[in-house]
Amino acid sequence: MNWRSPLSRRTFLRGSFGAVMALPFLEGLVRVPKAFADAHRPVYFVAVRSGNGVAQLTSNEPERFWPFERGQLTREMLLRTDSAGDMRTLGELADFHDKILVVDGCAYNFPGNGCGHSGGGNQCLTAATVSETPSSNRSLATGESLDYYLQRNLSPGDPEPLTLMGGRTSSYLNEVLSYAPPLPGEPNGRLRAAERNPWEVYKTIFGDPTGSSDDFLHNQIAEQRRSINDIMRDQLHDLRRNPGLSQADRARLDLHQEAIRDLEERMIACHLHETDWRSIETADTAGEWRSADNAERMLYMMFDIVALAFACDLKRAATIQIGNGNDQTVYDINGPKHPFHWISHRIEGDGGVGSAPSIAGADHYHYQVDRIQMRWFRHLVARLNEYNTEQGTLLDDTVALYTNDLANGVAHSYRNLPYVIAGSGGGYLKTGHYINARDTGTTASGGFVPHNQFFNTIINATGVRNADGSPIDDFGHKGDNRFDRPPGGEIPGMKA
Amino acid sequence: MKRIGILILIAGLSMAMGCQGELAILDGSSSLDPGGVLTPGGTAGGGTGGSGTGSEPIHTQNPEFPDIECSDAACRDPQPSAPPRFVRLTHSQWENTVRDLFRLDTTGGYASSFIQDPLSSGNFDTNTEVLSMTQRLWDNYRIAAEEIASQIARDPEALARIVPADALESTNGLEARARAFIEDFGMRAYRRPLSSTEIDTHVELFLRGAELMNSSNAFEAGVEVLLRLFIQSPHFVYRTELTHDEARDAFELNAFERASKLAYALWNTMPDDPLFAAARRGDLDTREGLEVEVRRMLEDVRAEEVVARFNSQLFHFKDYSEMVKDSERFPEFSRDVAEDMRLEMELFVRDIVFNDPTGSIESLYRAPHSFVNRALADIYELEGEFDDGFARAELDPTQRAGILTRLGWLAYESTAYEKNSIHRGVFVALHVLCTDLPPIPDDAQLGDTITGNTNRERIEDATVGCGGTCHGLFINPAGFAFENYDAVGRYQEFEGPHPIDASGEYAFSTGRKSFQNAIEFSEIIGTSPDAHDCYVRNLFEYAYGRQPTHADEPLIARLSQASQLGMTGIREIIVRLVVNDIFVSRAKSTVQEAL
Repeated sequence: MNWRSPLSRRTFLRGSFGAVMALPFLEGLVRVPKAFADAHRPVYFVAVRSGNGVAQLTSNEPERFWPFERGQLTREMLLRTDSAGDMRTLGELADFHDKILVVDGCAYNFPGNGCGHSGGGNQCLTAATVSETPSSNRSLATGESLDYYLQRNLSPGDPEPLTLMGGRTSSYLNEVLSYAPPLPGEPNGRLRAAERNPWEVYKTIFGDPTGSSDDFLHNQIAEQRRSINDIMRDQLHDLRRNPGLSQADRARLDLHQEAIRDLEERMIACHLHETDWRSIETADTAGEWRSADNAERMLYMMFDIVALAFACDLKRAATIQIGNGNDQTVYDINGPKHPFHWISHRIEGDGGVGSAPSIAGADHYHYQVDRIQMRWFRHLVARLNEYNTEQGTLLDDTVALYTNDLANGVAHSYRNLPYVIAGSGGGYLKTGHYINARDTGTTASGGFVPHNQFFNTIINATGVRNADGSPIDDFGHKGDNRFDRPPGGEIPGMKA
Repeated sequence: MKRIGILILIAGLSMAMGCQGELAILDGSSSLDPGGVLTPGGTAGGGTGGSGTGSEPIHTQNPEFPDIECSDAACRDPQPSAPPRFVRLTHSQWENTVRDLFRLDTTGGYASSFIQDPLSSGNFDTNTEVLSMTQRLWDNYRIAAEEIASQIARDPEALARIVPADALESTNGLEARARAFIEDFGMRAYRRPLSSTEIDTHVELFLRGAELMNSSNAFEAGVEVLLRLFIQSPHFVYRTELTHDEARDAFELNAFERASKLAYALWNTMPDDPLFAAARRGDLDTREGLEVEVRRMLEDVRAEEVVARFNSQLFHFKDYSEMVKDSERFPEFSRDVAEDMRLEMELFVRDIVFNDPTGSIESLYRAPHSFVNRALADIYELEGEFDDGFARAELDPTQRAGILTRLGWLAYESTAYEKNSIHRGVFVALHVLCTDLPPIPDDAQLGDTITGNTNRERIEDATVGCGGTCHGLFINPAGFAFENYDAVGRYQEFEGPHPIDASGEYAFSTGRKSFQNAIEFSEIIGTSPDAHDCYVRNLFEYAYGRQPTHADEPLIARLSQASQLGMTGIREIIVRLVVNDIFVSRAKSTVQEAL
């Protein structure tokens, strides 16, 4: 795969910050030189994932998620309320009506393997099959996820996307979202750990702002690290020359080699305002990030970090997982303080109907949680939109995806997945619209459009192409003795 | 089980590679060749021919316990596998290794800020395939290394613990001091002697220390910069198995690789000085020498911690802090009580393995005693005086038998409101008996109207549509056996006015067996081949860091057979798991590409 306009990250940084400005500010402008920007407009991808499905139309529950009408989105339509006075969940994005693309009619193409939540998480960003072994809540995706695919294609020297998580954690099912490709000879993708401490992420991406700004000291530290790193690189090289290594063993060493970075690559004059990074630092020193009670604040910090990382072109892809696999976060709703997973099952427990007392009005509580999460997503969208470029805003050059690894909670359905994109991916996507993927996509046997087509469209929006320059049309499962390859290509209706 | 299907395929590939022959590695006739590769006596070269392909029975007696006639897989010989050759330390192993490398009393807690590994796809955190390197983790390692190096190098007492006397002697030349330090500390950091080339490279870096650290104290600066390297190095963060002989299908690990493999399996940390010394002397090259070291290691508290750690992951008591109970129904429950329940489980398994006269798997599932404080004694409804400390207590043998009737397990396998018979049943089937349960159908739905006077009746009503396979034969009977225990593990005979029925019939691999309650069920479990096989299988997975393959089945069968017949306890099983050919050897990798 090739990026349409190969570009050195450091060249971009010099262009955007070295010559033009030292620090980007949230309320300030990240001004990319026009000539440069016209030739090179990087597109970024971020996915915000929630769990347990959304409160949408089922046989015995009303529609609460999708806008009232397909077609052009307007502020008024998004804010419209039903007879009970409730607007749809997506009404939370009314301020960005012209910058969002809502897509219904997509579905996962493969079944889970013993656990609806895990199987949904496995497929959520991979469009790959669910592992035969392991199964149940330990099942894995058999391929890589969209964030990893995009990051490694858009930034080959820095293949790891940002992988973040907020809310509850759980030993039953925790991270579900980001996968590196399988190692050679192994059947399953490598589930990637998510970072939960915003301060650690901040320092990793931008460097420690509390450190000295003394050039001499910086150079000295850089030389110390480079001297050590050089020896470690040699050690890894020597290890790799050992006879009889398997491909997977070599791949492990290669991952290690890629992980080693020298200091000068981090010497980037790119930071949030001191008041903002100080609050992130405090969340670390006070241990606030460890408590799910602080989920909203921690997620906002992560959104700020992702937006800045994109603004500084330090990462091209990121995911933010809200809550553990079957999100057990307790949300602040107008109702009982139950774990969200219970609410999504409509009972006071994690099992099926009848195994615990029912929660009266649980579908409305579910809707309230959806609203909260959509407000969180709106925060990210707003942050991206605050960074101006010569052509518009950073949001315009981003594909910011809100999704859920289930369509709804009670049935653990994989059909009619909630997809909302903010940002047009550099003008590639038809924002300002609510479309039915089935109108233009290729449906599979269940009558829904396999979501690999949704991802193909996003990939092409970012500029990744096949080696011959043709659009990507085959992301995800390629077909094997268990499952055929689903119909590929894009969803034309998503394109501007 | 389903996983076996894949494993049989792998084993088939292995067999297709050619006959490996019986390695006889630990028969005392091994010797170390000049290249550092152990050569079994008389079997050098390629496949050795003869018996022991792993497919044919070749024994009549159990080789591990010759007094027992063997059967099935136990009559074959296990064969080495080809697991990853670079096994990244788990975070707890990294933490313990730093503690022991610097001869500290406690761990520093550095790993608590490391990015956590995703949940293992197996049962245990030792799963080697999950443990890989990322940029984020590399950053964690670097930051920790710089902090530790700075603290140690600038603390004379700390330095004195890790720097040999001749290196501390300032009258010696700097380079000589550097070499003395590198040879001594480097051997412990990399868990093997350093080559002369490696020593030279490290000396060179040491001598640049003053310049790099901008320090006038050349020795201290050299140590600091070297410590940074040592604990970031791939030789530190991976346990390596580099021994290789292209001409052979299987080969033995060298003495230092054996020492590290033993140490991380039995202690969750690096080898200590006696183990290194044993490796140097060649003691680990023979079964007798290896066994002496293993038995010494099992006397150490670090082995107790590993046994507790293994069981905490198998029985999930590491996760008890996640338990939530309805405060109105269970006012006696709190986060502190959840921690008490975890501690009870840990004390119980430690006692069974290290103090119990038999130390057997059967005792684990049948012993009526436990360790309780006042809070737990109240739930057990014990008479007598209890305080906040834990003390051994004899429980009512008509109500409690073994680990599956302990409060923690019963409470964890419950909802906030009610016992969760299905979860309990699934746990017993999967983790206690290793029964192969088919996956839950993705479209599985419970009916909207579920009726019944008791929890059991409601579950029977809800699952009647699932057919007789999973719920009828396995999940429901295994779960219903524990109907007499509520969501915090309290014993009960009635649900309201309705008597509780805990009877059932479970389909063991040896046939169906019926029981009246958890006591009888635990007795059957404790004496069943399934439970012994399953516990040994799990121990294998934990110690080896991978799920067993077909080639490992003979070893598992030998040990579980002896355990089920009462011939061995858990400690001895651990000894036999690591004092054998397949633990100290490896097969040639099956997936290779030309260099």
